[in-house]
This record gives sequence, structure tokens and C-alpha cells, in this order.
Amino acid sequence: MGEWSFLGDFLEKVHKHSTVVGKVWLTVLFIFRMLVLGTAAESSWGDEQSDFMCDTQQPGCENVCYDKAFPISHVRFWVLQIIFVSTPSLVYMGHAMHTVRMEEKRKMKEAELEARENKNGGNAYYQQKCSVAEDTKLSGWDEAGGQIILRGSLLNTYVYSILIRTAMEVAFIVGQYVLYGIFLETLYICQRAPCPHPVNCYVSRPTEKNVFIVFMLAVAVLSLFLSLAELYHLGWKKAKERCSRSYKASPSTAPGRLESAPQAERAQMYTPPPDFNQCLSSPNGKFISPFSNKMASQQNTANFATERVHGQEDAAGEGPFIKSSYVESPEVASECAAPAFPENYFNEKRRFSKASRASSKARSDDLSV
Amino acid sequence: MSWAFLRDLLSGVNKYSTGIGRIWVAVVFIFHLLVYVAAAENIWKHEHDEFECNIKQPGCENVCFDHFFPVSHIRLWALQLIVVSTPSLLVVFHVAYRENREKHHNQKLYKNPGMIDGGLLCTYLISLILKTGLEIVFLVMFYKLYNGFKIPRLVKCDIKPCPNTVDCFISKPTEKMIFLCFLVATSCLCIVLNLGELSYLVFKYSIKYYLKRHVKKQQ
Repeated sequence: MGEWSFLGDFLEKVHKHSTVVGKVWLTVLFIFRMLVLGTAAESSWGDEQSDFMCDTQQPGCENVCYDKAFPISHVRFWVLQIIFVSTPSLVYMGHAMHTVRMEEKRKMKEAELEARENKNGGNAYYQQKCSVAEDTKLSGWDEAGGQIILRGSLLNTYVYSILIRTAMEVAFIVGQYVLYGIFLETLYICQRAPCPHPVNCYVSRPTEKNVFIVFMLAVAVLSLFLSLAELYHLGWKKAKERCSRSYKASPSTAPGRLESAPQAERAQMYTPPPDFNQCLSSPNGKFISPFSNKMASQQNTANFATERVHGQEDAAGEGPFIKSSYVESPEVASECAAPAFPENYFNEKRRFSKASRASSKARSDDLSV
Repeated sequence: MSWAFLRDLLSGVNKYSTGIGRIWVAVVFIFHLLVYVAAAENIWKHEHDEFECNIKQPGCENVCFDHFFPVSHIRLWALQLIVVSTPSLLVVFHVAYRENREKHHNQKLYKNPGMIDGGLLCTYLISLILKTGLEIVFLVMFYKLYNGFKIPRLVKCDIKPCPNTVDCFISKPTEKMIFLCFLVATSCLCIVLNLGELSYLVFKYSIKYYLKRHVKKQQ
């Protein structure tokens, strides 16, 4: 069991920076797969060849029959399965750590620059303050929670890692079925040189092995289900964001959709940036809601606040870092009820960036998506 | 057999590695070491007991096994793991030497003893070249010793005291071949990573050096 600590140490870091479903998947992996494999299954398969008996005295016949019956032992197959299924999460972890390191380097450089600017004079002070505030918000690292925030390319890596993991699970489940079917038979009839004729061979402990085979198969199916659930959870959010983005582009269509969004979901909704022009379109500079419904208009102001932040980021050239906006901004509504003077954007922006990060629904453990 | 020492050594080296170096450590841990400990050791555990020859002549099985497996695959695998991880020690020693020097002179001689620059860069590059070279040496050894990466089911043996050409059967040949291929693939991946890291470092520091020279010339 100690040998799994090599992989366990890596996966613990992944555990810290996963979504809820990801954490459940990792727990299932640790307990039901690694632990069971290391303790129970290994000893059950310990005497698999020594107790594999063939009804023949022909030397070498047992060897070749065992090799034909079990091209790869179940236990070794499951070891490979665990390794290959865990590898995509490690790739995601590597990317996340790399992103965090880059962000920390950038922050250090900007802190140095700010210190230098302070020495030289306060001309660029205000700009620096704003860009630092913006970068704190943009960075993939939540200082308070110590968590990585999934957005942009990091979110893509996470989704790809789950996709590859799902594909690996399916491949190994299908592979196990193709190699051995579901159950092990007690009797295996072998016909292979140097056996002189078809020979009866008897597998050791078939019932015990079947119990473990069914157990490991069930756990694999459960892991597959968890991966699919996580994909659905991420994919649905993305699709919802895309829908609301296209909705923003044509506000006349389906105004009721936002009304129907439940309170709980709004808190976790991902607000896409609408077209920047929409915020500045009113001639007298006041925000006029096209919706009569308060919920919808609150969501809309939240969207605009987010969009304003993104507009600033694009202006500052930070665009590439955020490719898709999965920013939670449910609490902005009350603060942004009457915004929309362009000259006030700098003043308002920092307030919005603080508020837009907060979410009453956020849990300290979770990865915010 | 405790591999914790090797794990601690490689984790220590991780501090002074580049990004690709860290990937190399992860690949060695998981695909090389973990597979060895969790799977491969058990396959080759009873290889001698399960090696069977079609003869009752005492001693024939022993000499045939010794002829076909001068060094068992699994022992070569373990040796490879140890030998390929050792060049990383050079980097650890060099950093320790630097820190010792700073202590001895009681002043800050280096910006950061663990940062890869100057002499430490040379040590790091040498360790990379050694790692790559040793991986290739072991792959060639595997190939030459066993005539390729195939493990046959049946081998014919006619060494004394076997009275005639005798059929000998190797146990679990398919499973052994699967894991041997896995080992070869992992070694090739490690070689690619090492070469990638080598070229990246050489490229990065040559650019840095030429830029410095260019700036100096302009001044």
C-alpha cells in the first residue's frame, strides 16, 4: 500500500484544487480503488499461477495455458487503469501550478514597478493602483482562500483532462470486458502446444476473484458516472453562458429566460460580457433597464458590471488571460443599480471588482468556476 | 524494498529544476517507479520456480534459466531506476557546495544559491546529458541481452547437463512483454523530456548571453 503514496502525494494537491465532484471522484479513487487493490485484491491474486492447476503431467503445459488464460493479470490491469485514469488530473495540476507561478512572478514584477514609480513620483500612481487591483482580481490565485480560480485556458485544460479521463475509463472497462468478460469461470479448457490434447485447467479462488472483479467494475462505472456528471456540470454552465451571451446580443428575444432562473442558480451563474456599446448607448448616461422584471434587471446590472471590468482589462491589454468569463457576480446588483457614466468607470471599477468576486454561495473548499 | 530514499532524493532535486525537469520527475515516479513497485515486481517474483523444462535431468533447468536470463529484466529495471536518478545528485551537491561557501566566507556570494546560473547551469546540463546517456545505455542493454524486446513462450536449450535439446517454457511471457514495452515507452519519453529540457536551456541561455554581449557592445 505504501507504493501508492508516490501517486497519492501528487493527487492530494489535485484534491485541494478540484470542484466538489472532482473531490468525490478522487476520494473514490483513493479509497475504493487504491486501498482495496493494495490490501485485499493483491493477496487474493497472490497465488494465481502457483495454484493454477491443469489436468496434465506434460511439462510446460500449465505455463502456456496460464499465459493463454491470463495475458495480463486482473491486478496488473487495474494498476495500469488507476495510473492512466489519474494522469490527466496530474497534467491539469501541472498547468495550474504553472499558471500560479506565472501570476506570482507577474505580481512581483508589478510590485517592483510600483515601488519604482512611487520613488520617481506619483504620476502613474493611480494607474498602477487600478492595474494592481485589476490584476489581483484577474490572477488565478485567490489569496484569501488559497485556491486556484478556474477560468480561461485553465478551465479548458480542466475540461480536457476530464474528457480524457472519461475516455480512459471507458477504454479500460471495455478492455476488461473484451479480455475476460465479466465473470471468471472455474474451468478453463486449454489447447496449446506442448499440451498434447485439450486440457482442463482450474483457476484458483474463482469466487473470491469474481467478487473483486464485480466490485472494481462497479467502482469504475461509478467513477465514469462522476466524470460525466462533472462534465455536464461544467458544460451546462458554459452552454448557459453562451445562451445568455447570444441573448444579450438580441435582447428582444425571450426576456423571460432570466426571470425563470432560480435565486440559487443566479448566485453561481456565469455572466458573459455583453457588447460594451450597450452600456454606453443611453444618451443621457443613465442606465435604463429594458426589462420590467427586477430579477432580470438585477442580473443585467451584474452582467454590465462584469462587462465593465472586462472592458478595462481589454483596454489594459490583459485580454488574453481571460478568454471566457466565468466570474461570479451576484452581489454586484445592489451596488451597480445606477452606474454608467463613462468618466466614473475608474472610480467605480475597484468597488465592482471587489464585489464581483464575492459570492454568498462560495464555499471555502471549492474551486470557483 | 523501500524506494522512499529515491523518492526523497528526487523530491529534493525538484526545487532546482525547470518545468520540464519537474515533468520528468513525475514521469519517473509514476510510470517508472510506481509501475515497478505495484505491478512489475510481482510478475517476475517467481520466475525461476515457474520456469519449466521438459526434462527430468537434475540441474538442466538451472543452467538453462541462467543461460537465457543472465540478469533478470526486473533487476535491470531496478538498476535503471537507480542509475538514471543519480545524476540529479550532482545538482544537489553543487547547491550544497555553494551554500557552504557562503557560510564559510560569511557573505552573500550568490544572488540565490539555488538559481540555475553560471556553474550550476553547467552542472545541470551535465546531469541532463548523463541522464539521457544512461537511459540510452540501458535501452541498448535490454535490447542486446534479450535479442529485442520480445519474450518468447518457448526456448530451446542444449547446455550440459541437458542430454539433448530441451524445450523450456517461460512463465507469463505475454504479461512480461506488456510491461517491458511499457518500460521502453517510458524510457523513450524520459529521453525526449531530457533532450527537450537540454535544448530549451541551451537556447534560453545562449539568447541571454548574446543579448548581454550586444547590449555591452552598444554601450
